[in-house]
Amino acid sequence: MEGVENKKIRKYSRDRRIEFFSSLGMLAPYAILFTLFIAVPVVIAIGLSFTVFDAVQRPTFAGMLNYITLLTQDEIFVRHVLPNTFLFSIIVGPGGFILSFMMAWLLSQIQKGPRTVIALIVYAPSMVGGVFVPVIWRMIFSGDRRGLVNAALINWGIVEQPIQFLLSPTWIMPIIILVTLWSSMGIGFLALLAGILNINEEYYEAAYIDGLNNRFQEIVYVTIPNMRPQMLFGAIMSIVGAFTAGAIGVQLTNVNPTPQYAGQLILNHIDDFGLIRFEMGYAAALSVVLLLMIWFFSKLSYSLFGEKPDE
Amino acid sequence: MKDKIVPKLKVFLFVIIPVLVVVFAYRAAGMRRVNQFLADTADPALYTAAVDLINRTLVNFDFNYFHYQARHPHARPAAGGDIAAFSANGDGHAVLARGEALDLRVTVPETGLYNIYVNYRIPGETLLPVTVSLYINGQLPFRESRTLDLPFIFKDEHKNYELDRFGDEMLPPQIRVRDWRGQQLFDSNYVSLMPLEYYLEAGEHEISLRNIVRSDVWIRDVIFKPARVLPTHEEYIAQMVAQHGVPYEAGEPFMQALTANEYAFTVSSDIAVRSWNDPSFARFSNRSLLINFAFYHLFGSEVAFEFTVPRAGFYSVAFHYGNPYVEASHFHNIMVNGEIPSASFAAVEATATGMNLGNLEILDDNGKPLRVFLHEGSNIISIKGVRGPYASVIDDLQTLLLHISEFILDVRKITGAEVDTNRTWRLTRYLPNTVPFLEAYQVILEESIRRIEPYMASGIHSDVIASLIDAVSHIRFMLVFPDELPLHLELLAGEAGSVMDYISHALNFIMYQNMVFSQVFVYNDYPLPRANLSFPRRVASITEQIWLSFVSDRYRVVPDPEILNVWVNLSPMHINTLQSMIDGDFTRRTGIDVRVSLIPDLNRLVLANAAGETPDIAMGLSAGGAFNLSSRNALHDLSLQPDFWQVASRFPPGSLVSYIFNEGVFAVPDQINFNALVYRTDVFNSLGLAVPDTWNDVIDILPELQRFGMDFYHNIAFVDGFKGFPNTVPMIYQHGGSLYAENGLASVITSPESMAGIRFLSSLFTYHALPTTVASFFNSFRTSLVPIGIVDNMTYNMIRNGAPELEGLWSLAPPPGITDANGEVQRWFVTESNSACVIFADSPHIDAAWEFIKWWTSTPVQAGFANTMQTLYGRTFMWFSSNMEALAQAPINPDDLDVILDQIEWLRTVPFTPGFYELERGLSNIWNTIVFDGTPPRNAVDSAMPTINRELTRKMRELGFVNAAGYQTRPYVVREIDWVIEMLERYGGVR
Repeated sequence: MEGVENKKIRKYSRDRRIEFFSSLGMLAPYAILFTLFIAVPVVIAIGLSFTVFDAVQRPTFAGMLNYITLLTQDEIFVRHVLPNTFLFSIIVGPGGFILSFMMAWLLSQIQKGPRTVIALIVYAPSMVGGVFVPVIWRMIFSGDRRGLVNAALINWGIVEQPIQFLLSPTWIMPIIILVTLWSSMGIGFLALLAGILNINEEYYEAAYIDGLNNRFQEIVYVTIPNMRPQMLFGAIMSIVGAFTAGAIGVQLTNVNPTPQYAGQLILNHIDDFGLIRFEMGYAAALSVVLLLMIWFFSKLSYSLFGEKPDE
Repeated sequence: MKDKIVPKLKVFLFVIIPVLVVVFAYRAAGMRRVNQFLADTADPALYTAAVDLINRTLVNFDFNYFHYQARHPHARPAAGGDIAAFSANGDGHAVLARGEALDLRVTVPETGLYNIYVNYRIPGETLLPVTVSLYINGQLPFRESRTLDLPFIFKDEHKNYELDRFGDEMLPPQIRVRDWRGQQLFDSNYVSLMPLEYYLEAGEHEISLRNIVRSDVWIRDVIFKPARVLPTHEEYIAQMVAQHGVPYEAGEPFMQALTANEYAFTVSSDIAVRSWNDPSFARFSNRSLLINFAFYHLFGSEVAFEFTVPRAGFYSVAFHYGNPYVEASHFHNIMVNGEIPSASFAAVEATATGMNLGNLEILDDNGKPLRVFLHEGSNIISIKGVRGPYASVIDDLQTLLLHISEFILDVRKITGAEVDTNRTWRLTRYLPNTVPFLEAYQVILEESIRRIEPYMASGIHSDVIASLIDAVSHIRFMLVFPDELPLHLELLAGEAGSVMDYISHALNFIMYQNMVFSQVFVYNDYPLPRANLSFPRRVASITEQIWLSFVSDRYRVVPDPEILNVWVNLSPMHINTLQSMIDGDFTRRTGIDVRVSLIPDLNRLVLANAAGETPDIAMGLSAGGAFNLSSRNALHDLSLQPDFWQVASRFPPGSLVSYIFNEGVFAVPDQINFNALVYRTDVFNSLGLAVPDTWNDVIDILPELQRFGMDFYHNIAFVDGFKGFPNTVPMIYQHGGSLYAENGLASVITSPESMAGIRFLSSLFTYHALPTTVASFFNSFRTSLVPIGIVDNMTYNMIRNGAPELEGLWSLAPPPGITDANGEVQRWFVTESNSACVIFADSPHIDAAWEFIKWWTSTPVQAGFANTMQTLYGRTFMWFSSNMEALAQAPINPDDLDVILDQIEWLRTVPFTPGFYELERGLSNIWNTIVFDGTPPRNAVDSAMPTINRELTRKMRELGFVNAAGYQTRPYVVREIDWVIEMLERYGGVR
């Protein structure tokens, strides 16, 4: 009797072990890669943010110095980078998200053939982004008479002299925002499109029987509630995208910092300190701040679109 | 379902189809117009009249060879034999130094055309083109006679290519052959197909041959030969058969092929061999780079091959070549033993091959290869690039460009710089020539199109013709509204898309050849191998290459502790040359093994340093990069070497300033950048302006320039928004100001002198309206919109080598300065160049590394490197050595070199101190806010100062020179050029 019991226990614990190791095995590829390429660097960055490190000599511990400097000494951060980043993120994050949704919804209304083609075209800028964007937009906004916008404005007699779009502090920020919006139809947009197409046609029919009157109600009462996961994904993608965008300003103006810091975003500021001034510790502190900002806004999106337990 | 489709169809039918019809009709109409005018037979009288009008009204008219030929339309080659005008007896020869002339008296028995044959030799090491001028009876017969080319002959030192450590073949050194050489004279631009023909009447003439270059020219014979008329091929055969008694028939099948790298010699330094990664070339391997082709770009370049044939007889000649221009054919003279056999071998057309290769054969009307006579034994077959049918077109278009820019000046004299767009213009009333000029332009352009159209691969769709057609359509438009021309001046001379722009564009295409030779064949009754690899074999080859790119690790960089590792930020071409010079000279002499590796991104040095994998030496660093390493103790202080200051006296003292950190010198430069003023001589002559010497002179000529819509280019006006030290600081130095307080804790740009500099610099743009952005000075200079400006090495190189149509129309001058209280002109200019050579502090071979740097910056090595780069890779590979003695010997145009060498005295670099970038940004922002936002200079400076000073102090604290309370804890001092000069005087022992 006892033997049988023991056997059972042994078999049970062996099954448990196998189960344990097999789930570990399943988890391992992701866990290892995540730890190696994301968790460890983040931990190291947080660690470095408490040091002074110039990338040449050994880091020395400096306590909260970098954070104190950030809040009290870094005039550029407070005067230019923070307002720029917020303005940019507010317009490009939610703006890009709404734009993606509208574009996806419009595309979902047409036949499959043209939809695929147009979706590919709309998605293209975000695919080729890095190389392509500065080439095209520098040509469009070039500050001589040859720039497309300037040439048009001069031709129509609106201005006499070409406008220095890429040099003038008044213009650079709107242009960065415009260009980023143009190329913001990325993976989030594809997810939204897939989400809209996934909704069962019968829901709409049922809703019309229940008294829907127009397409707008259709969107609000059927489409959006039915695609919450995709909305969440899209929102997070566009927020993360908005905060981590920054290359475009530098690519358009060809310099870091951008003229009079007018297009300076937090990522440019990190580059400036890390790769130009070689203050890795301070750059790490900035990265931590950026991480916190992204985390906060992701939480916000969760509370808007996340699955709530009572549903 | 049906009723749904029908409306869509309707929409399609009613909207799309009409649109398509209109588009196609428009296009077809355009094409028909173009085709029609191409088909029209040109009216020669109209063309002659147009050319005549243009030449007659040209202010800067220059009588050239074409005009000379036109003046003697009935001249025939002289009858009779050679006339020896000069002949040195025995081993003697005439030596012509710079400016000296050989004056001769020649009695010509027969009136007619003569070629001039000169037997010459160029002694010494020079590589600069040598030209002489020929005057007849004290006069220059035509413009080209001023620069007659005495080309150099080059040979490969050997053909047993050494392999570099990647297993690739290394280019062999080219050596200049210094033997005597006889040559019938061409001008240096090779405008003519045959040697220049001088028309001499019977009687006595005074001939003067003058040396106009720096190097000596030795001359042994000068012979006047009656000009030669090329025989037809039948005549040639008859003559050869009669002379040698060999029948003109295909002998037994024969084939001998030489690959292009086996050439015997070249004439002109423009020719080089290289390796190309294309399996269609005769010498090719997927695994390593083989030297497999020869190429040239310039008219007059000649490459010669030596063939040995078993018996005398008639043989065919063919070339396996590539002409990668998608459009234009190029033309070649093919010579056998130095002479063009018959008219069929002159100006042979090599059609464009695009990305493929082709076989260049000389065929008769039936498509059979023509044969030429070869002696038994060795024969020289050579091929030479010529203008061929493009010659007259190039001349016409160049004249047209000149004329348009003069015409524009005339128009501007009437309209002023800012054209009033609201006024009713009646230009023809003031310039009655407007319509005749425009008509002449149109006639000449159309004639040019007709002349080159047969040689364009894609006919009227080719780029060259399309741009000329655009130019014609602009002119047609202007002819409809000639009175309103002031409103459309942009179309005539704007920076882009104007008539001038289109013409320069077309000229650039036909003036540069891009000929590539893979093989040369001498054969008889034998099929030529196909020019291109078959498609399957090509695919196989590419697949193998892709596979090898995964498995081969030939180009990995791993530092080897045993030898001296040098990381260099230069092109692979520079590095190959450098490595072979090291192996051949430095290692042989010192026994120190050196390995040079290419590091394109020197930011990696910082990371490599963090990983403890630094090389011993890095070269080609920016001054900022060197400073970032030196201020963090990663570099060895070169001034600790006992002989440092002797070595340092090789360089301009100002070039070392950026490399100083707290009285240590952590790098030396190997190249320098200079600033100089370029200006258009034709514009300045037409306007009667003097070249400015000081900034006040600039301000004086500005109103005159701006009246004609032209401008002065200050190098701060380049496109990017960020203006570095080289743009902002020179004016501060010219006013006697400086940048930092001596302890490096604050900036002193608020001092009266520095403020004067900042104020003056911005006033140029605010009061005197210099252009704040010039998209491309090079382009604006070519169209003479901005006929004067400050340039650096790179723009100078572009103008010197990339603007053939400007040849002789521009000149170099020292950049303007500021006259100080003592009446001296302060011409300081500030440069930055990626040229710092540094030794890493943890290198185990510091003394060997220093030995290497001394060797590399020494005069013979630098001068040799500059020469080698030009002979191997052509004129654009200019090396501006930091070694002043080597620079003086550099193969740079001597007049330009004089200006550059004078300028070097005024070279300065900015001292770098912790936090310097904040000052650089501050100065950039100050200029931007003053110029673009209209902020008063004082306010702009004051609002930038706190940030700059805070950053300077903060950085000093980070590096431990100042404690948290702001007190200096370690000595620190910023040093300027006067300190370098003092040290050089004290320890350098030379100055």
